[in-house]
Amino acid sequence: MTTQTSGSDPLDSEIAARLERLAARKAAPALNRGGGSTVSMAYEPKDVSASGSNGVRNGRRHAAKRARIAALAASLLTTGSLTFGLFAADGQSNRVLVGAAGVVVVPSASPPVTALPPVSASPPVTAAAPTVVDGDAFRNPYGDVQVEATFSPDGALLDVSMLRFPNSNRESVQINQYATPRLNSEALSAQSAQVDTISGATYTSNDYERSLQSAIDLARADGITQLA
Amino acid sequence: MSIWMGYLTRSTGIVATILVVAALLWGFFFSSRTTGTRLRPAWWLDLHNWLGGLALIFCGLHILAAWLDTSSGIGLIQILVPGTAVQAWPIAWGVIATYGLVVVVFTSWPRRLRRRLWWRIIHLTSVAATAFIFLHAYQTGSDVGNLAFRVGFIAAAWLASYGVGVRVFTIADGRTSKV
Repeated sequence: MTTQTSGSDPLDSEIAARLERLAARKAAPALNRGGGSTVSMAYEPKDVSASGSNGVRNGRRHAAKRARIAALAASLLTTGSLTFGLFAADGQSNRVLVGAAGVVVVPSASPPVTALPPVSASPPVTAAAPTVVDGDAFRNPYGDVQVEATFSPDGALLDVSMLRFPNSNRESVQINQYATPRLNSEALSAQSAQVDTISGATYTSNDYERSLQSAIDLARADGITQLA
Repeated sequence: MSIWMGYLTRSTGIVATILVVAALLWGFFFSSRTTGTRLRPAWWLDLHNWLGGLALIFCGLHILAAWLDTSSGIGLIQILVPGTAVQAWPIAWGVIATYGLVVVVFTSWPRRLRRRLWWRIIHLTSVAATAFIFLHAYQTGSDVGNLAFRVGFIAAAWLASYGVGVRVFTIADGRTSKV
């Protein structure tokens, strides 16, 4: 018995020392910050609840509570700033565009759709040839929309084409490539500005309708057509 | 209202992209053990989890705002089924990326998948999801013409690539993580 004890003494003392260290670490987890990479990297989820670094008290569930709050606040703040910033930037670019044309200056907080005068004056009316009438231009957040309507001598709507359409980015160009032929086709078959709204091109559809209606109204006032 | 939803769609999309990139970076720094000793690994992991969850929340807000924006042409079908929107592929990238994010987050929270190999494979789909998010942002984005957006886009793509690179090189070095 004595021999066994004396033979295993060094090992027992080493194990006892390690157990003591483990117990001490378990008792005071706050001391275990930035320790040996092997221990700290072998992370187990239960350690999180007992973590004590960075001002986090024992028993708290999240080790990065302050950083979490900061991330949430930064995200919300960025979203808000971007929303208003993008709106303001769009308003600014619209103001520059229209101001440069010397027609009308639109304030940044103006409603999205603003009637603008036609780009070119209507050509002289002749009874024998088809007549081309430009509609009013309308503004939406993605750009301006203006159509040009061609009327036959008997007042029928022969053709509609877009003079202005939103083309400031790839998305708008794609949408208009898809929407414009459908809108033109609908208007010609209906012989009217009452076209169905194209899904994904609501602003363009609405402004197309308004611009075409203004062209028809102008043509009717000049006696070119009887369309309503 | 719809106009504001349009702007909210754009801003939440940008913030969600930033959060995804941040979560990716935090995850790769953590798993490659390049986080240093100043902050505990638990801090990095906790923030990584939070950033991932926050990215999904902002992704949800982005989708909700697009849905409420009546001019976007995005409905429930376009949100759920890739390729059904007017802009088929650009929106499809976003839909696929969202599914990827959902799977990555919900296989880690509230409980992590039991089989580590499966969890790891699923978790790595976040890299593909991030790539899809970049494609979605570039092809659909109404702000692609904006210089600040382009600079931010390139910076975010570089950061994401840097995170992946750090992880790949630590694997090559033989320093594997237990997490």
